[in-house]
Amino acid sequence: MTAAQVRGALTIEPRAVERIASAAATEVHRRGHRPEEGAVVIRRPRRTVPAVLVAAVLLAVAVLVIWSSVQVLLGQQPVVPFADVAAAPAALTPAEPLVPAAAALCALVGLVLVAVVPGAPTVLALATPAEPASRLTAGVTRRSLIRTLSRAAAVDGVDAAKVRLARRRVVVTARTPYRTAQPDLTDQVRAAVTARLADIGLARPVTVAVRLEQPRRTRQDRAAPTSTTVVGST
Amino acid sequence: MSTVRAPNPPSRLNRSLLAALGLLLLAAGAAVLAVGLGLLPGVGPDTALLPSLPTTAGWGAYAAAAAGTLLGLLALRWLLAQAHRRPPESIWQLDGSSTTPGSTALPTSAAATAIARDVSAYRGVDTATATLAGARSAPTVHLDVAVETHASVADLRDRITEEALPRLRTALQVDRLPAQLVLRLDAHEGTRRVR
Repeated sequence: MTAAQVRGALTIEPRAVERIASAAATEVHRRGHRPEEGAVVIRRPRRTVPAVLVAAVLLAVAVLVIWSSVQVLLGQQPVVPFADVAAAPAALTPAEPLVPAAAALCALVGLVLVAVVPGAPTVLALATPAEPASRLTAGVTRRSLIRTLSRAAAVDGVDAAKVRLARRRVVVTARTPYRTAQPDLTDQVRAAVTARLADIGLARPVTVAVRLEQPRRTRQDRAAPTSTTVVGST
Repeated sequence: MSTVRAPNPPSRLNRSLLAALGLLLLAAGAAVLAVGLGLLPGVGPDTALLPSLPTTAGWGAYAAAAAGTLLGLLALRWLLAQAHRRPPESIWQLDGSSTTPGSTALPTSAAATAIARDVSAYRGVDTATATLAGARSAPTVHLDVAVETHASVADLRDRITEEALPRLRTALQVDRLPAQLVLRLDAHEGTRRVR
Protein backbone atom coordinates (compact mmCIF):
# COMPACT_ATOMS: atom_id res chain seq x y z
CA MET A 1 0.00 0.00 0.00
CA THR A 2 1.39 3.39 -0.88
CA ALA A 3 1.54 6.35 1.43
CA ALA A 4 -1.23 8.08 -0.49
CA GLN A 5 -3.50 5.06 -0.09
CA VAL A 6 -2.80 4.91 3.60
CA ARG A 7 -3.67 8.53 3.98
CA GLY A 8 -6.77 7.96 1.92
CA ALA A 9 -7.90 5.12 4.16
CA LEU A 10 -7.27 7.12 7.27
CA THR A 11 -9.01 10.32 6.30
CA ILE A 12 -12.42 8.86 5.68
CA GLU A 13 -14.28 11.89 6.77
CA PRO A 14 -12.02 14.88 7.47
CA ARG A 15 -14.51 16.81 9.53
CA ALA A 16 -15.27 13.76 11.65
CA VAL A 17 -11.61 13.25 12.34
CA GLU A 18 -11.21 16.88 13.32
CA ARG A 19 -13.99 16.51 15.81
CA ILE A 20 -12.41 13.34 17.23
CA ALA A 21 -9.17 15.20 17.59
CA SER A 22 -10.63 18.13 19.48
CA ALA A 23 -12.67 15.82 21.70
CA ALA A 24 -9.58 13.72 22.36
CA ALA A 25 -7.49 16.75 23.22
CA THR A 26 -9.92 18.09 25.81
CA GLU A 27 -10.54 14.64 27.24
CA VAL A 28 -6.86 13.93 27.71
CA HIS A 29 -6.37 17.22 29.49
CA ARG A 30 -9.30 16.55 31.77
CA ARG A 31 -8.52 12.98 32.66
CA GLY A 32 -4.74 13.14 32.70
CA HIS A 33 -2.44 10.64 31.12
CA ARG A 34 -3.32 7.12 30.26
CA PRO A 35 -0.89 4.60 31.71
CA GLU A 36 1.37 4.30 28.73
CA GLU A 37 4.77 5.59 29.77
CA GLY A 38 6.93 2.86 31.19
CA ALA A 39 3.98 0.54 30.89
CA VAL A 40 4.38 -3.17 30.40
CA VAL A 41 2.25 -5.10 27.99
CA ILE A 42 0.94 -8.36 29.38
CA ARG A 43 -0.95 -11.23 27.92
CA ARG A 44 -1.87 -14.44 29.62
CA PRO A 45 -3.09 -17.77 28.28
CA ARG A 46 -6.70 -17.89 27.13
CA ARG A 47 -7.59 -21.10 28.95
CA THR A 48 -9.97 -22.11 26.22
CA VAL A 49 -9.87 -25.83 26.97
CA PRO A 50 -10.88 -25.71 30.66
CA ALA A 51 -13.44 -23.03 29.82
CA VAL A 52 -15.04 -25.19 27.14
CA LEU A 53 -15.07 -28.23 29.44
CA VAL A 54 -16.67 -26.35 32.33
CA ALA A 55 -19.17 -24.60 30.07
CA ALA A 56 -20.13 -27.94 28.50
CA VAL A 57 -20.71 -29.47 31.94
CA LEU A 58 -22.88 -26.51 32.94
CA LEU A 59 -24.81 -26.78 29.69
CA ALA A 60 -25.39 -30.52 30.25
CA VAL A 61 -26.64 -29.84 33.79
CA ALA A 62 -28.97 -27.15 32.48
CA VAL A 63 -30.37 -29.47 29.80
CA LEU A 64 -31.01 -32.21 32.38
CA VAL A 65 -32.78 -29.75 34.69
CA ILE A 66 -34.96 -28.37 31.90
CA TRP A 67 -35.80 -31.84 30.60
CA SER A 68 -36.73 -33.13 34.05
CA SER A 69 -38.86 -30.13 34.95
CA VAL A 70 -40.75 -30.40 31.66
CA GLN A 71 -41.39 -34.08 32.41
CA VAL A 72 -42.67 -33.15 35.88
CA LEU A 73 -44.96 -30.55 34.33
CA LEU A 74 -46.28 -33.16 31.90
CA GLY A 75 -46.91 -35.54 34.77
CA GLN A 76 -44.27 -38.03 33.69
CA GLN A 77 -41.53 -39.66 35.72
CA PRO A 78 -38.53 -37.24 35.39
CA VAL A 79 -35.05 -38.46 34.38
CA VAL A 80 -33.67 -36.67 37.41
CA PRO A 81 -35.98 -37.36 40.36
CA PHE A 82 -36.31 -33.88 41.84
CA ALA A 83 -37.93 -35.00 45.05
CA ASP A 84 -35.08 -37.39 45.87
CA VAL A 85 -32.42 -34.84 44.91
CA ALA A 86 -34.03 -32.21 47.10
CA ALA A 87 -34.34 -34.63 50.00
CA ALA A 88 -30.78 -35.95 49.79
CA PRO A 89 -28.88 -33.05 51.45
CA ALA A 90 -31.30 -33.08 54.34
CA ALA A 91 -30.77 -36.78 54.91
CA LEU A 92 -27.00 -36.76 54.43
CA THR A 93 -24.62 -35.74 57.20
CA PRO A 94 -20.86 -35.26 56.95
CA ALA A 95 -20.52 -38.15 59.37
CA GLU A 96 -21.13 -40.56 56.51
CA PRO A 97 -17.84 -41.56 54.93
CA LEU A 98 -18.90 -40.78 51.38
CA VAL A 99 -19.65 -37.12 52.12
CA PRO A 100 -16.16 -36.01 53.20
CA ALA A 101 -14.74 -37.87 50.20
CA ALA A 102 -17.10 -36.04 47.84
CA ALA A 103 -16.30 -32.75 49.59
CA ALA A 104 -12.57 -33.39 49.20
CA LEU A 105 -13.07 -34.13 45.49
CA CYS A 106 -15.11 -30.95 45.11
CA ALA A 107 -12.43 -28.90 46.87
CA LEU A 108 -9.75 -30.49 44.69
CA VAL A 109 -11.59 -29.61 41.49
CA GLY A 110 -11.98 -26.06 42.80
CA LEU A 111 -8.28 -25.89 43.62
CA VAL A 112 -7.34 -27.08 40.14
CA LEU A 113 -9.61 -24.46 38.58
CA VAL A 114 -8.14 -21.72 40.74
CA ALA A 115 -4.60 -22.91 40.03
CA VAL A 116 -5.21 -23.14 36.29
CA VAL A 117 -6.27 -19.53 36.08
CA PRO A 118 -3.09 -17.44 36.28
CA GLY A 119 -0.72 -19.29 33.99
CA ALA A 120 2.65 -18.06 32.84
CA PRO A 121 2.47 -14.86 30.80
CA THR A 122 2.56 -15.59 27.09
CA VAL A 123 4.10 -12.21 26.34
CA LEU A 124 7.31 -10.98 27.93
CA ALA A 125 7.88 -7.27 28.26
CA LEU A 126 10.59 -5.46 26.34
CA ALA A 127 12.51 -2.57 27.81
CA THR A 128 11.05 0.82 26.97
CA PRO A 129 13.56 3.17 25.36
CA ALA A 130 14.61 6.12 27.48
CA GLU A 131 13.50 8.89 25.14
CA PRO A 132 10.01 10.04 26.09
CA ALA A 133 9.02 10.64 22.48
CA SER A 134 8.40 6.97 21.91
CA ARG A 135 5.21 5.78 23.49
CA LEU A 136 5.52 2.28 22.21
CA THR A 137 5.11 -0.39 24.84
CA ALA A 138 6.48 -3.61 23.45
CA GLY A 139 6.47 -7.26 24.32
CA VAL A 140 7.52 -10.48 22.69
CA THR A 141 5.65 -13.77 22.75
CA ARG A 142 7.28 -16.34 24.95
CA ARG A 143 7.07 -19.09 22.35
CA SER A 144 8.74 -17.04 19.65
CA LEU A 145 11.48 -15.90 22.04
CA ILE A 146 12.32 -19.52 22.78
CA ARG A 147 12.33 -20.26 19.06
CA THR A 148 14.62 -17.42 18.09
CA LEU A 149 17.04 -18.08 20.94
CA SER A 150 17.27 -21.76 20.03
CA ARG A 151 18.07 -20.75 16.50
CA ALA A 152 20.66 -18.24 17.66
CA ALA A 153 22.29 -20.88 19.83
CA ALA A 154 22.89 -23.16 16.84
CA VAL A 155 26.38 -21.87 16.10
CA ASP A 156 28.97 -23.87 14.15
CA GLY A 157 29.50 -27.18 15.86
CA VAL A 158 26.07 -27.30 17.48
CA ASP A 159 23.48 -29.74 16.15
CA ALA A 160 20.45 -28.55 18.01
CA ALA A 161 19.79 -26.33 20.95
CA LYS A 162 16.98 -26.30 23.43
CA VAL A 163 16.08 -23.20 25.39
CA ARG A 164 14.22 -23.05 28.66
CA LEU A 165 13.02 -19.73 30.03
CA ALA A 166 12.88 -19.25 33.77
CA ARG A 167 12.02 -15.98 35.45
CA ARG A 168 15.53 -14.59 35.42
CA ARG A 169 17.45 -17.25 33.58
CA VAL A 170 17.75 -18.52 30.05
CA VAL A 171 19.03 -22.07 30.09
CA VAL A 172 20.43 -23.25 26.77
CA THR A 173 21.13 -26.92 26.23
CA ALA A 174 23.27 -27.26 23.11
CA ARG A 175 23.97 -30.64 21.57
CA THR A 176 27.15 -31.17 19.63
CA PRO A 177 27.97 -34.26 17.58
CA TYR A 178 31.66 -33.97 18.33
CA ARG A 179 33.13 -35.92 21.18
CA THR A 180 35.82 -33.32 21.53
CA ALA A 181 34.23 -30.00 20.81
CA GLN A 182 36.26 -26.83 20.72
CA PRO A 183 36.86 -25.68 24.28
CA ASP A 184 35.22 -22.34 23.64
CA LEU A 185 32.00 -23.74 22.16
CA THR A 186 29.96 -22.90 25.25
CA ASP A 187 31.35 -19.37 25.09
CA GLN A 188 30.36 -19.11 21.44
CA VAL A 189 26.83 -20.29 22.18
CA ARG A 190 26.55 -17.92 25.10
CA ALA A 191 27.83 -15.01 23.02
CA ALA A 192 25.34 -15.75 20.22
CA VAL A 193 22.38 -16.02 22.60
CA THR A 194 23.47 -12.92 24.50
CA ALA A 195 23.75 -10.95 21.26
CA ARG A 196 20.24 -11.98 20.18
CA LEU A 197 18.91 -11.04 23.62
CA ALA A 198 20.63 -7.68 23.42
CA ASP A 199 18.90 -6.91 20.12
CA ILE A 200 15.52 -7.99 21.48
CA GLY A 201 15.99 -6.02 24.69
CA LEU A 202 13.93 -7.69 27.40
CA ALA A 203 12.72 -5.47 30.22
CA ARG A 204 13.96 -7.88 32.84
CA PRO A 205 17.64 -8.74 32.51
CA VAL A 206 18.26 -12.45 32.30
CA THR A 207 21.24 -14.64 32.92
CA VAL A 208 22.32 -17.01 30.17
CA ALA A 209 23.44 -20.46 31.24
CA VAL A 210 24.79 -22.86 28.61
CA ARG A 211 24.94 -26.60 29.01
CA LEU A 212 26.78 -28.60 26.40
CA GLU A 213 25.69 -32.13 25.58
CA GLN A 214 28.19 -34.21 23.68
CA PRO A 215 28.73 -37.88 22.96
CA ARG A 216 30.50 -39.90 25.61
CA ARG A 217 34.23 -39.63 25.22
CA THR A 218 36.37 -42.65 24.46
CA ARG A 219 39.60 -43.44 26.22
CA GLN A 220 41.62 -41.66 23.55
CA ASP A 221 39.85 -38.39 24.31
CA ARG A 222 41.19 -36.88 27.43
CA ALA A 223 39.14 -37.48 30.53
CA ALA A 224 36.98 -34.45 31.00
CA PRO A 225 33.45 -33.73 32.19
CA THR A 226 30.78 -34.40 29.58
CA SER A 227 28.93 -31.25 30.32
CA THR A 228 30.05 -27.82 31.32
CA THR A 229 27.96 -24.97 32.55
CA VAL A 230 29.00 -21.42 31.90
CA VAL A 231 27.07 -18.63 33.47
CA GLY A 232 27.19 -15.06 32.32
CA SER A 233 24.82 -12.16 32.27
CA THR A 234 23.56 -9.92 29.53
CA MET B 1 5.31 0.71 36.20
CA SER B 2 1.81 0.00 35.05
CA THR B 3 0.59 -2.89 32.99
CA VAL B 4 -1.35 -2.79 29.77
CA ARG B 5 -3.44 -5.76 28.80
CA ALA B 6 -2.91 -6.93 25.28
CA PRO B 7 -6.34 -7.57 23.78
CA ASN B 8 -6.77 -11.29 23.93
CA PRO B 9 -10.42 -12.26 24.13
CA PRO B 10 -11.88 -14.36 25.62
CA SER B 11 -8.97 -14.74 28.03
CA ARG B 12 -10.36 -12.43 30.68
CA LEU B 13 -13.86 -13.93 30.58
CA ASN B 14 -12.46 -17.46 30.85
CA ARG B 15 -10.11 -16.71 33.71
CA SER B 16 -12.62 -14.80 35.78
CA LEU B 17 -15.39 -17.38 35.35
CA LEU B 18 -13.02 -20.28 36.02
CA ALA B 19 -11.64 -18.53 39.09
CA ALA B 20 -15.13 -17.79 40.44
CA LEU B 21 -16.31 -21.37 39.92
CA GLY B 22 -13.08 -22.73 41.37
CA LEU B 23 -13.39 -20.61 44.50
CA LEU B 24 -17.03 -21.63 44.89
CA LEU B 25 -16.22 -25.33 44.65
CA LEU B 26 -13.20 -24.93 46.90
CA ALA B 27 -15.21 -23.11 49.57
CA ALA B 28 -18.10 -25.59 49.47
CA GLY B 29 -15.82 -28.61 49.59
CA ALA B 30 -13.68 -27.17 52.36
CA ALA B 31 -16.73 -26.22 54.45
CA VAL B 32 -18.28 -29.68 54.25
CA LEU B 33 -14.91 -31.27 54.91
CA ALA B 34 -14.35 -29.07 57.95
CA VAL B 35 -17.76 -29.97 59.38
CA GLY B 36 -17.19 -33.64 58.70
CA LEU B 37 -13.84 -33.63 60.48
CA GLY B 38 -15.37 -31.74 63.42
CA LEU B 39 -13.11 -28.73 62.91
CA LEU B 40 -15.93 -26.22 63.25
CA PRO B 41 -17.05 -25.66 66.85
CA GLY B 42 -20.77 -25.77 67.39
CA VAL B 43 -21.50 -27.72 64.24
CA GLY B 44 -21.38 -31.42 64.80
CA PRO B 45 -20.67 -33.96 62.06
CA ASP B 46 -24.23 -35.16 62.45
CA THR B 47 -25.75 -31.93 61.13
CA ALA B 48 -27.62 -32.31 57.87
CA LEU B 49 -25.96 -30.67 54.87
CA LEU B 50 -29.02 -28.55 54.21
CA PRO B 51 -32.22 -28.06 56.17
CA SER B 52 -34.98 -30.20 54.73
CA LEU B 53 -36.83 -28.30 52.04
CA PRO B 54 -40.56 -27.99 52.10
CA THR B 55 -42.02 -30.11 49.34
CA THR B 56 -42.42 -27.84 46.39
CA ALA B 57 -45.79 -28.33 44.82
CA GLY B 58 -46.79 -26.49 41.68
CA TRP B 59 -44.25 -23.78 41.02
CA GLY B 60 -41.13 -25.84 41.79
CA ALA B 61 -40.95 -27.34 38.33
CA TYR B 62 -41.49 -23.96 36.69
CA ALA B 63 -38.73 -22.42 38.81
CA ALA B 64 -36.39 -25.29 37.97
CA ALA B 65 -37.14 -24.95 34.27
CA ALA B 66 -36.52 -21.20 34.41
CA ALA B 67 -33.26 -21.59 36.34
CA GLY B 68 -32.14 -24.32 33.98
CA THR B 69 -32.89 -22.18 30.96
CA LEU B 70 -30.95 -19.25 32.40
CA LEU B 71 -27.97 -21.45 33.27
CA GLY B 72 -28.08 -23.11 29.87
CA LEU B 73 -28.18 -19.81 27.99
CA LEU B 74 -25.27 -18.45 30.02
CA ALA B 75 -23.25 -21.62 29.40
CA LEU B 76 -24.04 -21.41 25.69
CA ARG B 77 -23.00 -17.76 25.64
CA TRP B 78 -19.71 -18.70 27.32
CA LEU B 79 -19.11 -21.47 24.78
CA LEU B 80 -19.84 -19.18 21.85
CA ALA B 81 -17.51 -16.52 23.28
CA GLN B 82 -14.60 -18.90 22.57
CA ALA B 83 -15.07 -18.32 18.88
CA HIS B 84 -14.55 -14.55 19.09
CA ARG B 85 -10.85 -14.06 19.28
CA ARG B 86 -10.61 -10.52 18.07
CA PRO B 87 -11.48 -7.56 20.25
CA PRO B 88 -14.87 -6.14 19.37
CA GLU B 89 -14.73 -3.35 16.85
CA SER B 90 -16.05 -0.06 18.02
CA ILE B 91 -17.54 2.63 15.90
CA TRP B 92 -16.78 6.18 16.80
CA GLN B 93 -20.11 7.94 16.70
CA LEU B 94 -19.76 11.63 16.06
CA ASP B 95 -22.63 14.02 16.49
CA GLY B 96 -23.08 16.79 14.01
CA SER B 97 -22.90 20.45 14.97
CA SER B 98 -25.31 23.25 14.05
CA THR B 99 -23.46 23.89 10.80
CA THR B 100 -23.09 20.22 9.89
CA PRO B 101 -26.19 18.35 10.98
CA GLY B 102 -26.28 14.58 11.10
CA SER B 103 -23.82 12.20 12.63
CA THR B 104 -20.87 10.24 11.33
CA ALA B 105 -19.90 6.68 12.16
CA LEU B 106 -16.18 5.96 11.94
CA PRO B 107 -15.23 2.30 12.29
CA THR B 108 -11.97 1.93 14.16
CA SER B 109 -10.96 -0.92 11.86
CA ALA B 110 -10.35 1.55 9.03
CA ALA B 111 -7.55 3.29 10.92
CA ALA B 112 -6.25 0.02 12.28
CA THR B 113 -6.05 -1.55 8.83
CA ALA B 114 -4.08 1.41 7.56
CA ILE B 115 -1.35 1.20 10.18
CA ALA B 116 -1.24 -2.59 9.90
CA ARG B 117 -0.63 -2.36 6.14
CA ASP B 118 1.92 0.34 6.77
CA VAL B 119 3.90 -1.81 9.19
CA SER B 120 3.58 -5.01 7.19
CA ALA B 121 5.35 -3.29 4.30
CA TYR B 122 8.47 -2.78 6.42
CA ARG B 123 11.50 -4.88 5.70
CA GLY B 124 11.68 -7.98 7.85
CA VAL B 125 8.00 -7.91 8.76
CA ASP B 126 6.03 -11.01 7.86
CA THR B 127 2.53 -10.08 8.95
CA ALA B 128 1.05 -7.28 11.01
CA THR B 129 -2.39 -6.82 12.52
CA ALA B 130 -3.64 -3.83 14.46
CA THR B 131 -6.57 -2.88 16.62
CA LEU B 132 -7.60 0.59 17.68
CA ALA B 133 -9.22 0.33 21.06
CA GLY B 134 -10.65 2.63 23.65
CA ALA B 135 -13.06 5.51 23.53
CA ARG B 136 -12.48 8.03 20.81
CA SER B 137 -11.29 10.46 23.47
CA ALA B 138 -8.51 8.14 24.62
CA PRO B 139 -7.60 5.72 21.88
CA THR B 140 -4.82 3.16 22.08
CA VAL B 141 -3.31 1.15 19.26
CA HIS B 142 -2.38 -2.45 19.63
CA LEU B 143 -0.05 -3.99 17.07
CA ASP B 144 0.67 -7.69 16.60
CA VAL B 145 3.68 -8.07 14.37
CA ALA B 146 5.35 -11.25 13.16
CA VAL B 147 8.93 -10.63 12.08
CA GLU B 148 11.14 -12.80 9.96
CA THR B 149 14.34 -14.45 11.01
CA HIS B 150 17.31 -12.13 11.43
CA ALA B 151 15.19 -9.00 11.46
CA SER B 152 16.40 -6.48 13.99
CA VAL B 153 13.88 -5.82 16.72
CA ALA B 154 15.42 -2.50 17.65
CA ASP B 155 15.24 -1.20 14.07
CA LEU B 156 11.64 -2.30 13.73
CA ARG B 157 10.63 -0.59 16.95
CA ASP B 158 12.38 2.59 15.86
CA ARG B 159 10.61 2.54 12.53
CA ILE B 160 7.20 2.00 14.06
CA THR B 161 7.83 4.74 16.61
CA GLU B 162 9.24 7.22 14.12
CA GLU B 163 7.14 6.53 11.03
CA ALA B 164 3.98 4.50 11.50
CA LEU B 165 2.73 6.00 14.76
CA PRO B 166 3.34 9.66 13.87
CA ARG B 167 1.54 9.08 10.59
CA LEU B 168 -1.47 7.59 12.36
CA ARG B 169 -1.41 10.39 14.93
CA THR B 170 -1.40 12.93 12.15
CA ALA B 171 -4.24 11.20 10.34
CA LEU B 172 -6.38 10.99 13.47
CA GLN B 173 -5.11 14.38 14.64
CA VAL B 174 -4.46 13.28 18.18
CA ASP B 175 -1.48 14.34 20.28
CA ARG B 176 -1.21 11.23 22.33
CA LEU B 177 -1.71 7.79 20.94
CA PRO B 178 -0.33 5.15 23.28
CA ALA B 179 0.68 2.02 21.42
CA GLN B 180 1.44 -1.53 22.38
CA LEU B 181 3.43 -3.86 20.23
CA VAL B 182 3.50 -7.63 20.59
CA LEU B 183 6.21 -9.26 18.51
CA ARG B 184 6.45 -12.77 17.21
CA LEU B 185 10.06 -13.39 16.32
CA ASP B 186 11.28 -15.76 13.63
CA ALA B 187 7.82 -16.09 12.20
CA HIS B 188 9.10 -17.74 9.06
CA GLU B 189 10.40 -21.21 9.67
CA GLY B 190 12.52 -20.48 6.63
CA THR B 191 15.50 -22.44 5.50
CA ARG B 192 18.08 -23.63 7.93
CA ARG B 193 21.63 -22.89 7.06
CA VAL B 194 23.61 -26.01 6.33
CA ARG B 195 26.79 -26.11 8.31
